[in-house]
This record gives sequence, structure tokens and C-alpha cells, in this order.
Amino acid sequence: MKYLAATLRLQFRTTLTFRFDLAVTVLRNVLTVCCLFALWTALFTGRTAVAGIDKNTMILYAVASTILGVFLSMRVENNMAESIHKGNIALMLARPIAYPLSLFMDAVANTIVNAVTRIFPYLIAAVIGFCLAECAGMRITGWLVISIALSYILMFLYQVLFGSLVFWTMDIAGLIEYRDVVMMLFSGAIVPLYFFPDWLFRMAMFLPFQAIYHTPLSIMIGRIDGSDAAMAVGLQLAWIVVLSLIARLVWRRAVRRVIVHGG
Amino acid sequence: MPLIQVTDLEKHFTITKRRHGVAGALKALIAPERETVRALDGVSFSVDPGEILGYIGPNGAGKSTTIKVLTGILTPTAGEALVDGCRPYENRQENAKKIGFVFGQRSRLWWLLPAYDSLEYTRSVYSIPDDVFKRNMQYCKETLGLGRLLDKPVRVLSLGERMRVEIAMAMLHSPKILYLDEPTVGLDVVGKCELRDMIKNINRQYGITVILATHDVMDIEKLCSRVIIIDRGRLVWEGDLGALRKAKGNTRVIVVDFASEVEPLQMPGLVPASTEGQKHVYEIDADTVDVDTVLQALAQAGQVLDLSIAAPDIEGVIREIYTEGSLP
Repeated sequence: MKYLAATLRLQFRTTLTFRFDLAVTVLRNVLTVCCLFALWTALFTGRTAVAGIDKNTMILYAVASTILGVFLSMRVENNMAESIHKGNIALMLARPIAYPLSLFMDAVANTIVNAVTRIFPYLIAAVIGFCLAECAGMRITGWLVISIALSYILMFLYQVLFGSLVFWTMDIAGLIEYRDVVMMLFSGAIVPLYFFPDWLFRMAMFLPFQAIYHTPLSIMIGRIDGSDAAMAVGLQLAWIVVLSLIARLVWRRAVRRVIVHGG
Repeated sequence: MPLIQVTDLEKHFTITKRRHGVAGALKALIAPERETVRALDGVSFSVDPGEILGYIGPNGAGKSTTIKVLTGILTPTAGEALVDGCRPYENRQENAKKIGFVFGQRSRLWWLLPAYDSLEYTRSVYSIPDDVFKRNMQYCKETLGLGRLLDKPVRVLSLGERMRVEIAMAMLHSPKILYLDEPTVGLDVVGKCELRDMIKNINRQYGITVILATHDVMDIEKLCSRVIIIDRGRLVWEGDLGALRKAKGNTRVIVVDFASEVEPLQMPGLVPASTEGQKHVYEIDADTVDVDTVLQALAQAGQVLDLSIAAPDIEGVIREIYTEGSLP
């Protein structure tokens, strides 16, 4: 806990060092919300609803998905890859904190910093600027809060698993992009899975990615609730158990492969 | 009971051979040629508590690899390393609490923030109790001259200043052992000198055992009670500094300046190294030849303006050990 507090403090101060960057980020977030609004308004011209989702719900979905994306952008893979490339993995492994744990703590600290510097501006832009009406359709329930928390853990596990590949391949920049595209598509981050053709929807439901975006967003727009929500959250939990077992196994093998050349 | 016990340590790496040029890069991509490098090839030694051990060797000898096994970063291929009774690569976190380390080529400091923030961060990483932290900070401020550095962002510190902060960071949690991997690399003469004083002070005041990996011979001469030399993954020499000096025989170098040109002196046991004109350089083996007799002979040969007798420099001895691979 002390470690988390210290990391948080330093990450905050590092972020605040670049005031200009911070200002640009806030501006960009406002613009992103504008774009989403304009895009989906245009796409829904002449239609009242697609796959049971109307325009307002869709805008809510898109904005929420973007904000969730910021919340989930933890850069764990990039951190791992960078540690390996620069050889700083050596410094990490020689500390009295387990590396995966410190990765998680760093990710949480990063998210909190993001929340203050990026998510709040988003939320303010979203609420004040455009979707007062759309926000009315939002269902904030206990299931939503739980499922977002589980999404976060799932995302962390994916990233650790994927990031561990760097111990074998030494470079994963290309793989990260590939992973990102597959995950964004099949998790429902870009387009709701409900818009998919039936066979693709079913396939997506079998993949682990849907548990990250699809589950919390569906709960939020009220598409699933009650016992369905409980089921979906249960599925998230199951994926967490499976992935953490695999991650544990992979990590153990990975750490034995550590090579640090040149000093 | 030694604090560190290393037995037949081996570490092999498999590396892919890279060739020059684009064609070579493509070839390596399709049909990589691999080869096994024995970074450590059966190294054994032990370190007693309170020692400053000089661990030297040329670039790529395996110094850093040994340190990385001892700090728990690398798992050895064969053999065993025991640090304070446990294997560091199997008990990473337990080991990490007992050791401090500075890798001269890698910084642990937060680049953009004042140096103090990095120290404060270390306090949380190592869960250092308040009183220990305060005491060690006080010590670091006094001995390492940190006082005025702490408020400056790390990026504006000089290399020497940064290294001081790194060392402070490494000893904040009162470790038993301090691993310093080329801490003086890239420092100027004054910086190196100050840093050596600090290391000595830390060793004396706290009784911290120091393992100093370096290829700077002056580091060794100023600091180390005992020296281990490795080359190509093998231990080639071990002993104290005096013994290292005598390793190549007890030679002395005599440099004489004569007032006028003098014929080279012929004497048993006296090897003329260069005898051009008025300046003569001889090497003698002090064990077999009486220095006094040589001096008298020189005084009789001509008018001596200046004369000096020097023990061979350690660097020369080490160079010979490197080139020969081992000692007779």
C-alpha cells in the first residue's frame, strides 16, 4: 500500500511536469467526444434503431467505451518490453517486491493519474457538452461497478501474458498492435457486438475479449441486467481464474529466461 | 563462515549470430545461426563479512553476470551461489532486502523529479522503517554530500552527483552487502576519488561488505583488501593486493638520469629495458639482486642526476595476467 502511494505520488508529479502535454490531452479528449457524437449522429440519420440500440444509447455506448479505454490503458506490455530492451528488468528483479505485483501497482497508479488528468476531463466534456439526454439512459448498478473492476483485472492479465512474450521474442511492438486490433474488435470496444452478424457474435462470445468491454458496457446501457448480469460477471470471474493460472505458469518460465547483456 | 559462497558457477547464454548488412540481417532472420556463450565457466570463490572485494576482469569477462546471479536476477546454468545462507535466484525478495546494488550503467532514479523523490520511493519499495530511513539519510547527507543535491531534478545532476545519489539509494535500507558494478565508470578524476572515499567510509562505518566489480585498477588499489580476477568466465587469480603485486616476481624498475652519456651497465640480475643516451631504465628482481649493490654500481658508472625505484604497477601485472590467461 505504501508502495502504491509512493508510485502514485511520483507518477503524478512526473505527469504534472509537462503542463503543456496535459493541456493538449484535455483538449484532445473534448475533441474525441465531439467526433463520436458527430459520427454516430450521422450514421443514425434516417434510422431509429440498429439491433435494438437507438442513437442516444449508441452515443452513450461509444463515449463510455472511450472512457473505459482510458481507464484500461495501463501500458503493462510496453513497460515490460521497455524493461527488457533497456535491461532495466535487472533492476526490477533485484527489488524486494515481486515484479508482477509491482507491475500491477504501477498500472493502478497510472490509472489513477489518468483518471484525474484524462478521464475527468472526458466526463465533464461528455456530460456538459452533449449527452445530458443520453446519460439519462445509463444504468449504474452494483453489477456495473463490479464488472468494471473485473475488466481491469482481466486487462492486466492479458497484458502480463502478452508482455511475457517479450522474454522469448525480445520485441513485441508489432504483436501489441495486432493484439490491440483483435481485442478492440472482439471486445466490442469500437462497435457493439450486437451489430455483428449472428455467427460472428457467437464466436466473439466464446473468446475471452468480450468480458472486457462488452460485459460492463452492456450492463451500463441496460441490455443485460438481473440474473443475466450476474452470469456475465461470473463469466468474467471464470476468465480471470483461467488467465491468472496461465499467467502464473508463463511468468515462471519467462523469468528463468532473463538475459541481460552488457553491464 | 563466509557471507558469500560461490561454487562452480556456470552461466551459458544462447545468442544468435548477427551478420553485417541487410543481406546478413535477412539471413539471420530466416536461418539464424546460434551459438552458446559460456559467460561463466566454473567460478568458485567466497567472501567474508566486512571485506571489500575487488572483482576485476576485462570487458565481457563475466563480472556483471556474476553480480547478476548474486543479486538474484539471473539463474545459473550450473553450480551454486549462496548469499547469507540462501540462493538469491530462488529467494529473490528475501535476498533483495539484504543487499544494495548500484549498476554503473543503469540508473534507478526518476529522471524528471528531484533526487529526494527517488530516495523517498526507495523507502517504500524496501519498506524502510522511519528511524532507519532518518538515520541513513542523515549519514548520506553528511558523508555523500547529498545536502544540496536533493532538491534538484535528477536530469540536471552531473554523472558524479547522480552516482552519489545512486549509492545513497542502495544503502538506505542498511543492507549487509553492497554490489557495485562499475560505479566509477565515466567519472572524472575528482569524482572517482570522492566516490572511492565514500565507499571506504560506508564499509568502515557500517561494516557493509562490498563487492566491487570494475576494470579500473585505481579502484582496486585504493579500496580493495582482496582481489579476484576473472577472464572469459574463469577465475584466473585470487589473493590480496600485495600478493598481486608480487605475482609476477618481486621486480623493481630503476630509472636513472646521468649527467653525460654512459655505457649500459652489465650486471647479473640487472635487465636493461632501455639505455639510450643519458636516461637508463633497468628492471631488477629484488629477491635475487641486492638493490644497494646496484645503486652503488650506478653511482660509479657516472654522475647521477636523478634516480627513482618503482614497484611494478598493478595495471601492468593485470595486463600480463589477461594476456597469458593464467599465472604459472
